[in-house]
Amino acid sequence: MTSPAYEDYRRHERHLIHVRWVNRGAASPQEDEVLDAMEEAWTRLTEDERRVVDAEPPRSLIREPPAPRRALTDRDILDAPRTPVRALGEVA
Amino acid sequence: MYATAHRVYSRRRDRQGVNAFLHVHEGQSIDWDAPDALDRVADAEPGRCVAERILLLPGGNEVMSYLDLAGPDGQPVATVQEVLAACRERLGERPQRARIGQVSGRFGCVAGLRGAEELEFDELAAALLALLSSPRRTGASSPLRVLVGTDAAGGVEYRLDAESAERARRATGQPRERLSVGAARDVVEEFERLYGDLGPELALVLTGLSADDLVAAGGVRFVDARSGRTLREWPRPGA
Repeated sequence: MTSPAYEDYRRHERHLIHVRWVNRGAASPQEDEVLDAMEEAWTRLTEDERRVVDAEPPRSLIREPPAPRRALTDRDILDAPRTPVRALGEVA
Repeated sequence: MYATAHRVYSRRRDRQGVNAFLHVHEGQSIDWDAPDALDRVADAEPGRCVAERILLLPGGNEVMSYLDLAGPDGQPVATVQEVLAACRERLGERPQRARIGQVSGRFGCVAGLRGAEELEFDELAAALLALLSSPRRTGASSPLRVLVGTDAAGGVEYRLDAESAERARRATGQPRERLSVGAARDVVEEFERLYGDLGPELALVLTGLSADDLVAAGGVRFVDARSGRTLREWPRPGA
């Protein structure tokens, strides 16, 4: 049985992963907001819950974005109608 | 119908955003019962684009995630929501896709979300649903006009004509800060050699509109200031 604080912490953690992914690892104002919320939730965790969190690998701390040269890219379908919207190609 | 939303990232602009497009097939013969109908439509027969929501100019951007829906034209929103819900339930599966009747959907994203996929899915789904309830593009509006001439230094001058400046002012609610942009000819040529058409970028600067609003306003036409000849349009007519 987990506490509401633990649920909050996990929810904010998922949000942090998403915010960092969207920003490709770069710092952002949204990230600061989420970190503040995580910190607040952390203060409400029990000792056991903190131990559980501490024992896990830092899922949300990876910041390096992938940098493939060739990837799925979008097409300017406004300029070239009736073409597929995505294709494998060189990243601009 | 082919509706798609994807988050794209531009390295050149260091910006990301979710773009969404709605296509219709208007009687085009598609076997919607075929197991690979969605793949075929997405990869080869997207149909005619009738609505879009653009936060980042499309073309050459890296795709970070996508959510696709395909089925016969005119699907009720309730059906779309059902398919989206079914897709969301299968987020952990590979390949990730769901089908209800003749409507199918799929979601994909590049690595790194690690358990937060549902947040990305929800953003793309919201963009798709907003697009489905938005007005279809009719192309009835005439394009805004940018006059292309020569500035005092012999470079290229791009200038919004008076009527277009007024339309842009009404659309944005603000007077235009820049009615013209000048650039050396070799700079323009080098930019376009490296990055492609400069037109969309100029149109955004001159009008102050978002790409989405610019398309809704009828796009932009670049006209030779002396001869009145049309040099190019964005989007291309018929798009």
